[in-house]
Amino acid sequence: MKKQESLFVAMAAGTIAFAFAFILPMLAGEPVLWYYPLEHRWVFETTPSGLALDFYGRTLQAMVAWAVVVLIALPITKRVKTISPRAVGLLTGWTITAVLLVMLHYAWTLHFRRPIPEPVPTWYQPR
Amino acid sequence: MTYDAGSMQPDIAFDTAARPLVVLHALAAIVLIGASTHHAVIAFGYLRGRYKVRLGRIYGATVAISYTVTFVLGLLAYPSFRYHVRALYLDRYEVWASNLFDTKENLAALGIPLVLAVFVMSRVMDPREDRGLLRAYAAFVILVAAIVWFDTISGLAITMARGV
Repeated sequence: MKKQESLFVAMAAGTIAFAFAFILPMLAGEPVLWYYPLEHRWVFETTPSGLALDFYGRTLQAMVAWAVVVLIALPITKRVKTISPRAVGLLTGWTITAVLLVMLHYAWTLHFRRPIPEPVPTWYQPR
Repeated sequence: MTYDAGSMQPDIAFDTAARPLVVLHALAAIVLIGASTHHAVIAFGYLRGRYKVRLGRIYGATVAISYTVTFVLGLLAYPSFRYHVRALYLDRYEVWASNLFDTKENLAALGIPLVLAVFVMSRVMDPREDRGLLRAYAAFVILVAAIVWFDTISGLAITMARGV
């Protein structure tokens, strides 16, 4: 396989891994790193106990999954002699589908979300 | 909860710098939307036999850098936005903007591996010879541009509802 084909396969596999790892905590209820901005602390847990952000944790987890899959895929793809245009097309299709499915899942779920607002503090003055 | 000395306001990371951070975030997004759109035009040209390879590489690098800068600036402003804007205002009065923001941030994260793939492929691929990879490259570039357009328009709409 040529260098550019090998890199494409590794990058596409990494993208699928990223999308899967990014949505895994939401689908499987897996614990993830949460940041509590009002308390300046990080906790690895499934459900937060107050105002907390899981975006940093999910992104970090997905980037680690991406790096692991790319690092595993690169040496494997270099051993393969060639890749057919059909295989490139299939891998492209899987990659785009994986990303779009995760995007649609978030868009659909969030469209119907009714968030619970924080209690208004005494110092709060709307601008 | 920790508080600022001398006030009752909670002490949140990068709180005092939130507005300049969001302005820089918007400026980086302006560069990003231009570069990603131009890159999509170049990639579409590859499919039609017009090979502006040097421009493709320049836009690939520009998108990678501006995407990273925009994303990191957004991450820095996020704690302040999450409490002062989303938790105290949007979740109460503008639920659509709150939900749109979370959709936008998730889409932005999902664009990261695509941006990396496009950047790497733009450096190593020769569109005249690697015809088999062209459609994959163009599909990734167009999806990145679509994410950037969605996120930029969403960001503007959310900021019109409430800013930091």
